[in-house]
Amino acid sequence: MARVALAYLGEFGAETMRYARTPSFVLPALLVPPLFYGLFACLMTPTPDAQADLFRLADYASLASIAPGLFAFGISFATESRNGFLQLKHAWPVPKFAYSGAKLAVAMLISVLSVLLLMAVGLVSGYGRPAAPAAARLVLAAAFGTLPFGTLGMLIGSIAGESRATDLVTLPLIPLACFSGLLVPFPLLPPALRGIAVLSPGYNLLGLAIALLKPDMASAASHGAYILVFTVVLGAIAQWRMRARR
Amino acid sequence: MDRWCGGTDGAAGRPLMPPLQFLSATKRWRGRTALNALDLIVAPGEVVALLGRSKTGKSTAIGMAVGLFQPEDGSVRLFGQHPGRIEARRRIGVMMQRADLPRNLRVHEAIRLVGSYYPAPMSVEQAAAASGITALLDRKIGLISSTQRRAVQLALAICGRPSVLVLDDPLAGMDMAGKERLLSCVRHMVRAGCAVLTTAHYADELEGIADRVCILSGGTKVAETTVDELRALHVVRRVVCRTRTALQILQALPETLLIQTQHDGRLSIETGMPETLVQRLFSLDPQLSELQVLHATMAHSIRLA
Repeated sequence: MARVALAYLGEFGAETMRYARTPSFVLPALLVPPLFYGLFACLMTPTPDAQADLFRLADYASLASIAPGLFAFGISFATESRNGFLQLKHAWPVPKFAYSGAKLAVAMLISVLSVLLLMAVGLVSGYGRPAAPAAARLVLAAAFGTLPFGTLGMLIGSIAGESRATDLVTLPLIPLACFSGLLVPFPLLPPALRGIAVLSPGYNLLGLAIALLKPDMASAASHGAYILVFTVVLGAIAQWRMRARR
Repeated sequence: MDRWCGGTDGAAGRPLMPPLQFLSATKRWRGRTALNALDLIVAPGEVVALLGRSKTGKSTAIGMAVGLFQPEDGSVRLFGQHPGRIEARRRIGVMMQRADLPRNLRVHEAIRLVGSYYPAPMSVEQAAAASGITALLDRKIGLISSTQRRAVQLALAICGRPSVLVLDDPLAGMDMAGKERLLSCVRHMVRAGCAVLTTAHYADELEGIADRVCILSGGTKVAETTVDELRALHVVRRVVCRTRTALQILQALPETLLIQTQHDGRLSIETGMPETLVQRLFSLDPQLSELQVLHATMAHSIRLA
């Protein structure tokens, strides 16, 4: 049991080191949401407003989950599938889910760190100062929020051809950010897009984050359940695709 | 390392299971038969080489041996178990033909990580020394040469103290020194009782290390024999010489099987009748020089198989 635990920890450590040594990915993933938050939610907002500030905090915290999920998992998964490393991982006696779990854990860690930075900006600027329990729930939401984007990235990586994976993983990024109510407020979206937006994990993550800040546990449960189902379904399809490729 | 003594278990009289066994294993890809009913046993302390051109099923066999692919018919057994079982794979080491390692990891980090998958791994230093990469331990994998990366892959393959070593085209991308180190390492593992299944495109590279050769053609095993038996099946010699006789004349000789021009300008003529050919060559060109009569290479023996 200790040996297996060591293998899980080793995988997590290796993945963490890999991304820590890739500043071109980790710095934007960490810094873009707090920077956007600082610019658009703080500097460009005339006066603080408690309710609106919490909404904006939830908004940009949700944004922080997208890139780590899609790229830390999706792109790296696609790349390693393309270059044969994934095959090697399957041939080695890697404990079940150690490899994929480590990738998701690192994505969650990046997302959490980004949200902590974001909350630090809010704290300093005075535009977002949730109570400690609400802040803790928001951090959990950000971590949980990497799951659907991670499995989306994994699914794209399992489908895409060798040279298309990076392009295909990048494709959903703009729609997920802009058209799920994150960068463009939901009420401002055209009706047709609103109908699609409610199905997106970004919309539901935003709903979960807002519900946890309020708190509104019923709403949190429904958004959380949607995210979980989305994750499980896409994860199952991705696993099936991976097995079919063997 | 486990010892499999072969024969029967004296106490119970039961035959022991071979480490790696293909039992009429068949694999199809999109309607094409990649591997057709392969029967093969790899015993401890021996090196079995799968040889054949591209698309003959070598990598498919390797993939099935390490649990990547499932055969449609027949089976593959690792220590009597399905290769997909993690308990079986804890006793094998793998070196794939095409696998880029994470470039941001240092060599010692990669060895430590892979070692953590196994119950009784070598230390990082032991694995590095065995594969000749001690000087690279602190280097990032992305900053070393392709030959050095292959040597790192060898270290990862052996760090778990495997009882079975599966090597898919291990010499590809290696320079001469790297090849020598790899072959030396494999010999050491084999002497310790490890069973080795390997593949190669160029048969000559495995001379001196392969105990048995299994030749695949179109996914089907066409021959399985020892290296010496394979050579003995075809009494072929190579006559190497420098001569002024025209190539067309030499090609038309009944004793000539194959003519190639070597890098030093001499002709290499493969023949089943070396004495007759040498007499004929001298009769055609009394000034013939730099004559050598050599054994056929394994590559040629396989061509004739």
